[in-house]
Amino acid sequence: MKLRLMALAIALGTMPLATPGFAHHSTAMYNMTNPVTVTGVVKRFEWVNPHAYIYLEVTDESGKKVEWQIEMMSLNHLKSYGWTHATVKPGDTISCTGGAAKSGDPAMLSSLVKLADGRTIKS
Amino acid sequence: MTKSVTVNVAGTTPIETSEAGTPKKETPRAANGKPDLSGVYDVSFGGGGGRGGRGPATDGPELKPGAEKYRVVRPAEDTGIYSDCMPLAGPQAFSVPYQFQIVESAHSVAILYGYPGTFRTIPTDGGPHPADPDPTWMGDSIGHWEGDTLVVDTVGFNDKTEINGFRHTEALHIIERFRRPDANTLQYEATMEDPNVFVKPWTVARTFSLRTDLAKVDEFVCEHNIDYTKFFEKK
Repeated sequence: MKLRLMALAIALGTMPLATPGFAHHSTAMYNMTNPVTVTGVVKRFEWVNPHAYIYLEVTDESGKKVEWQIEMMSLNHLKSYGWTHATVKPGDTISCTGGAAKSGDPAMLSSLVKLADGRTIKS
Repeated sequence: MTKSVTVNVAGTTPIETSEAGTPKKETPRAANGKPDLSGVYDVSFGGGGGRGGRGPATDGPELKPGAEKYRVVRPAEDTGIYSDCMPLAGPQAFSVPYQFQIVESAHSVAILYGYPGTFRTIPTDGGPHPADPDPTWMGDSIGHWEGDTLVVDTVGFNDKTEINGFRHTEALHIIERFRRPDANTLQYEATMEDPNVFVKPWTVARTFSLRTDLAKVDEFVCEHNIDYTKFFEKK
């Protein structure tokens, strides 16, 4: 499963993502040194602490739909980047770039989001 | 980090200026003449959501013989001190990239911590601690002014928190000193003692910046905390 999911993710190279002062929990469970990008359709957007989440429906190469759990920063950080509870909404097609879970689960700590309107915003 | 310089001109009072050359705003004062510490602060250096990090221990701590068990050692696959959203005591509460707000009134000072949504109320009217305080996460604090320094004495901690990588017992006693040398700067010092753990008191010092763009701290409710360990590599 891990390989199939990784196959649909676009590797961005080996440049590590800048992880901001991340206080709430260690990021060691995410592969931040080899960021990947997943593109899909927003199913839900949870504007909650300690981390906001986007649940993204991603279609893999075989046509199978997989829901990715996209973890972002806490709300105070997101607000400072320009986010509000209305920045993404269900049905938006967006791309999230970040470190995928080392477990192989379809989960990511996202550092950058390309929004439906084409803007790119830190996450 | 902003550096400050003092401009001395013969026959005048020295004026503190920032690196950019603009005069620093003076310390605001309350009606009683004491510094008014009220404001929203963090350790950010402009913009962003604030930066965390522990203050360096300037003196110690040195563990007593047999107290090595109080040193926190984390395994590689640990999610960290903050991942359970539980309250943080003493200087540890200021070691997160979130804001905190001080609200000063004539008889008390309140500190509202943006993370994890805790608060302390510190009476400054001269009353004592309770004789045998029930243990709490944040402890029982009383404050008094020594010149322009707010001195806060806290006892009555539980033994569930850690400070700068060391656990403690319920005998923990912290003395904190808050100074606002100019409108935008809050200087902080905390001295920890615990006769069951440390050979002698040890101190950490921090400097915080006023967030002039913020009037209050945000609500923080840790409603969606998950088990992050499940994302470590399967073995």
